[in-house]
Amino acid sequence: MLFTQFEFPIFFFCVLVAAWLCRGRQTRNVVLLIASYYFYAYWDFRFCSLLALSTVVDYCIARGMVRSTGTTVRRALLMTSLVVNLGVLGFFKYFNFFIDSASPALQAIGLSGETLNIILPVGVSFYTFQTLSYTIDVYRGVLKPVNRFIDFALYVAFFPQLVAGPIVRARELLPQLATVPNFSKRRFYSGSQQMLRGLVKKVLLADRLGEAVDVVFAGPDLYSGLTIWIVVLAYAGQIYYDFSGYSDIAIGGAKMLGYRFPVNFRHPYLSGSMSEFWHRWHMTLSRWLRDYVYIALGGSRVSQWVTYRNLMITMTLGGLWHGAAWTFVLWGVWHGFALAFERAFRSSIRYRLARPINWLLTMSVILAGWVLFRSDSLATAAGVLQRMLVFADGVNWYPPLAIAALLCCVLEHVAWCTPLRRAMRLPINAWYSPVITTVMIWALVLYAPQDFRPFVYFQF
Amino acid sequence: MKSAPVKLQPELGSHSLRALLWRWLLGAVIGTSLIAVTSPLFLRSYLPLNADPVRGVWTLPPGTEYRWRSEGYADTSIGPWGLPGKTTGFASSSGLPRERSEELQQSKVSPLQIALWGDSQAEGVSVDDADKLFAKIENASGGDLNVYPLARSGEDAADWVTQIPSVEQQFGIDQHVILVVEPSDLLAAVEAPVASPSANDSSAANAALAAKLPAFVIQAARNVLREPDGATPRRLRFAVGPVSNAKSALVTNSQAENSKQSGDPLSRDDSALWLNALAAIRNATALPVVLLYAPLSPQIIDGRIRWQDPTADQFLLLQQAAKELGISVVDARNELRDSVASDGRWPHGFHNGRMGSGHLNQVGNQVLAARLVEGLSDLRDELNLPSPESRN
Repeated sequence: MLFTQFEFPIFFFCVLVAAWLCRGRQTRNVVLLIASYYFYAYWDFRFCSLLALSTVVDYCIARGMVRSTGTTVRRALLMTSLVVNLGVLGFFKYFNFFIDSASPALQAIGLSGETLNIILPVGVSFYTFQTLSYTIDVYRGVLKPVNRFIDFALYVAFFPQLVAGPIVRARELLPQLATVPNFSKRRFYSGSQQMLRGLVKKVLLADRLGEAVDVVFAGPDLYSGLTIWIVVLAYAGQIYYDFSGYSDIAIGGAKMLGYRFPVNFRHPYLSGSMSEFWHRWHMTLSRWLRDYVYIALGGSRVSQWVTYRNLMITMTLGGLWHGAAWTFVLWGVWHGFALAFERAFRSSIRYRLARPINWLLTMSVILAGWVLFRSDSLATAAGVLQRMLVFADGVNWYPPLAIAALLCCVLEHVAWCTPLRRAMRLPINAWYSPVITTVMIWALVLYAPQDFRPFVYFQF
Repeated sequence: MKSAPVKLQPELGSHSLRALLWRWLLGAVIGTSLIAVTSPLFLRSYLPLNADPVRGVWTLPPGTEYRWRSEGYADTSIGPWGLPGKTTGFASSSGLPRERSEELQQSKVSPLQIALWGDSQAEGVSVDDADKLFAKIENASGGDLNVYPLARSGEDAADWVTQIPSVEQQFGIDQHVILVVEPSDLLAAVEAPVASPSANDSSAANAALAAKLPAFVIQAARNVLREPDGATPRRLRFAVGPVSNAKSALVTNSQAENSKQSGDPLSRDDSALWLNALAAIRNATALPVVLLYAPLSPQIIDGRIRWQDPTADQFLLLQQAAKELGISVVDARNELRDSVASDGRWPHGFHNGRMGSGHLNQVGNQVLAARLVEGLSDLRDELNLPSPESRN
């Protein structure tokens, strides 16, 4: 089920009522678990088995780790978890990619390079990372394994974050699931406002921007350099509003149910450096990559060159996590390179330049990265980047609505840097809150594009 | 001096709750009023329909302005007989004494009178009056053609065939031009005649609603209660998946492709279907009929440009049947393709909709008008039509 479907508000209302009517923690968690599995089965019930497999394996492995004292056994258990989880992810997400990429080599040695007709289970990248974080934390001894299976199953499958994050750590959610949350009107209101904001971001801004982006990326050769610049900016806006909109709905929905999720976005396009960008963009993923890949590789407590290598490896894996295509891998490499470059020269460059120049440089790197991210092939990406360097043709097409949506994006980022930031949360007592809320609801009903657009991050 | 603490909390609590509720109620009213005031800028209008006695169909009321906003941003002046965008240039009747009208008809002065049929693509409420297909054809012909935009949204050949006799008589038509975007629309010709407007029609009920409710309320109700096509009632699904026909915008954009794959009548190699349909059209009029073929191509499907005509197979059958029955065909596919290929000007779609798919825009109408005028000029001898000069 998607947050933007008409069925979702009905489903969510029923879940809200049922959850708040439940007196006991156990009953509440069972209700939420059933709702979460239904939410997932709504797309395809067959893939609930994968979700259940991942849950059972990691629950048992974590319990096994507690019982065993030997390092070898604990390590073997961790390896089992990694093999099972990454095996599932690898098969469903990367099998065809690797076969495609290795096809010439396979054919050269007389093997068939045929791909399989595999459906990518929605959200597999997200819940795999969640279960892995649990097992690794238990292995490292920073988290005690959960006793109640229902709590752990709910942690893995909890519907607001199941399909596209935020990637919530076990140590953040499991303690919350161990008690019945207190109902707070303010939190309930705040959650509903966040959900509404998320819907507006997704439906009224991201989808509008996406319409212009799709046209130009379908045939970039037809458009001039400046038009492509407008559209690449539009894509930057689209992906931000699409994903941060989803995160807002997820966080807001969880808040209405009484749970707290970590923040996932903090106006990333205000960043003055690439490292700042990754502290503001998809924060739960960058945190995961930092803690479970970068630090595991040695982080920055090693020699300079090894640190650069660690950055490159981490970001390349991050790119590959996003999608099984060379464009995503290259996007990761690009970001890894930018982070390493920034680290190498930060003392000589970053702090000597004015913040606007830093911001401009950072945005250029980000935008070039988005071209790779959006293109369906390296050739398309190369074509788009090449055309972005030619300004002679002027603007041969421009999308007015996308430009208006981009202006909203700019204004929102600017307003966030001013005292208006508080007002943007629409406090319950503020005179303008009911007016803006009413306008947002009407706008969603009246002006939402009528065709269906899934969230961009669903493909990951 | 310190004042003693006053225990106002309980009263303040209920008071503030009441105040909060009032504030939210007032805010909702103000917010709704803001939407009501600004919605004409962004939403289409809903006009009470008018049963036109001459054409025998529901039309938009003559003398009104009709706004369209969801695809394009245009206002349409509704002319006599509900003709969208045509308020002048009538060779016969409207508002004229019968004698004068007959005199005009008898004199048969230039230009050639063309009846333009089709669906919403030919009706063209998405573009301003000067950019509508009929206006573009008149301009492209340099005044040699006077075009009556008789196309209406949702119509098919059954509606056209029903109206043809009365329209020919009323307007002194010399030739019929049918814009064919989806060939399947022609198959309905065998179902003619369609029933005349009656008080029991859903259109009558809609007309009553349109007269009473503001447009934004009707639009909101439609968005909630109907599927994106605006006609099918919305059906919610609560059963678990997988669903075979996953919801997708791209599905609706490639209906023809789907229908071909599903093996419905459109995909059958059945020339008889096309022969019967075109024969029904042929029998409805003795005047020349020209089919202007302009499929939804090129268009963007699945993030890629699809240059091929999705209904090319059907068009071949249609072309053969037309040839047998003496119906002329003007094929505009190359011109539509060139418009995109040469300078990226999409003939379909709008900035506030989806470029590369949907209704014909200003560019598309211009391309089709130029192609039709060129095609009619080539066909003039074949159709045995008088040249504009000989008509004077």
